[in-house]
Amino acid sequence: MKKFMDWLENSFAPKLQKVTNYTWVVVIKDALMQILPFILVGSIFCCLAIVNGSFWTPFGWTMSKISLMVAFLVPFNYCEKKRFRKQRILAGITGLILFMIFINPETVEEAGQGHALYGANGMFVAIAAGIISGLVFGAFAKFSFFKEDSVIPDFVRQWFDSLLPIALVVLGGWALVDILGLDIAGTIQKVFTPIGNLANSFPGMVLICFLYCFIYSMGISTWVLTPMSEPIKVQNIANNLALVAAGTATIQNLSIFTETTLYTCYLWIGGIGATLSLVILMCFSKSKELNALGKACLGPGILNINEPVIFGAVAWNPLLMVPMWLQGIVLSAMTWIFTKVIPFAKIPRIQFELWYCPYPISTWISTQGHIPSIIFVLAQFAVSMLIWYPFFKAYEHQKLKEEAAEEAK
Amino acid sequence: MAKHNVLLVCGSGASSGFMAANIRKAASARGIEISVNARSESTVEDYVEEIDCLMIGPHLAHLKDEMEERCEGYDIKVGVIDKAAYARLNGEAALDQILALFGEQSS
Repeated sequence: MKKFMDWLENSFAPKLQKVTNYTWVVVIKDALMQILPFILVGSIFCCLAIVNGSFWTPFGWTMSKISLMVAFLVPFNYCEKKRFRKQRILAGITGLILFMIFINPETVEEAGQGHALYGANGMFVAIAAGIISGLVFGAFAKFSFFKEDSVIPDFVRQWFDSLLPIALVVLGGWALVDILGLDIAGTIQKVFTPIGNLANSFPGMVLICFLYCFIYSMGISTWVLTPMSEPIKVQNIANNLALVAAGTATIQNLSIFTETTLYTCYLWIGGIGATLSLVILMCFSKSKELNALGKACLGPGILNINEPVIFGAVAWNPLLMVPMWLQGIVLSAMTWIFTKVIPFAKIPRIQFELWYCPYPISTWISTQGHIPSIIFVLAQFAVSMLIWYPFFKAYEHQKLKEEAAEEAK
Repeated sequence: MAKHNVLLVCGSGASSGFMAANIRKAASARGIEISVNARSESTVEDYVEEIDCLMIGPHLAHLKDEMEERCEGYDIKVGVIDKAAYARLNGEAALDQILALFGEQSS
């Protein structure tokens, strides 16, 4: 075990941190986090739309436009990060334009709607368009047509330096889509379909949930997984909502790999790793340290915020890391089995993403008051506590010994 | 002592929000004037012009270099909040850490 922990700490974690610092991971993650307010507002409109259908229009103006936002933000953030501040706005706008060229909008604007790919389903295309725009502008930022002591006035030089990348991107997009007739959007979506399908499969979902717990147990923020998981999750929820609206939703075709199901409905009770049950165990502990830690973490834990308890007890502590990994595996498996295999708990038919909302209120809201679902989430909580319990006791025993030794001094 | 303007960042601004509240409490108890706000790390650029201190949650410690880059050209001290302090949401310890960055002792 010690060798494994050493390898994790000294070899694996630093490599993982290098990946998380990789430019495009940071840039895309930031773009997705920057649009979160729109996703949250959209999810509130979704809840309101259940009560009054006219709210689907403002929902359309928020959730169904997020790919437009991302197509702008990815190159914008890239230029910021690479210190090409002068180009950032133009790069952002060009990314947006290229995205629209790729998806070839022909549909007429309906109120609050528009092209289907403006919303969640166009995410990967938007990111691709953003990356291309960012790379082109980045290349031009390092190169200028004219020497600095040229007689041509500054602003004209500036024009050329920014006209060229724009022209290149637009002409390139036009050539590919209109002249060569390539379905860029379709191709990009096809490339990412396997990953989306993986996330929607039983082993895939369990694997990804385990991965979240694994990374977080090393004290690394799971926001690093956002570039891959967020586009998949928003696409899944958009598809779910479309199926529900069309009346063709079934247990088989609804996806449970969504922010709603995992974060607000059944899985991450108390935060990623289902730590609320652990915090409660701590509050009753005889160990002074664990008791104090539990009490400090209870408030945040009820709101599903758990960085304090992760750093206070779990991170890099093998005794608690292992049960955390088990939480990721067992609870996600249970969620799948009791929603899809045994139709006991309801798969949320709305988008409710306010993950600060305490359980089981959040479960009640996202399943629209479905009692068996609430029974299920309470069962999840009980199982979660059962998994933590033996490991927690071992850790508490260790702590009690340490505290006794301290007092004996 | 100058009034410091501190930005605390974590993933979404949630856990750092609790931390910020506790730092404000600790500062007020000591009679120290300080402005502490908690935000998501993806919004740091929005604040670089106003702040003189950026504190990062320990789970984002790997982003320290990245954050320092974003603060380049501005007179901002960057630090990672101590793990033990973050675990207990210990405002006193975090406040000490911030003041220490400026070489100031707390009263």
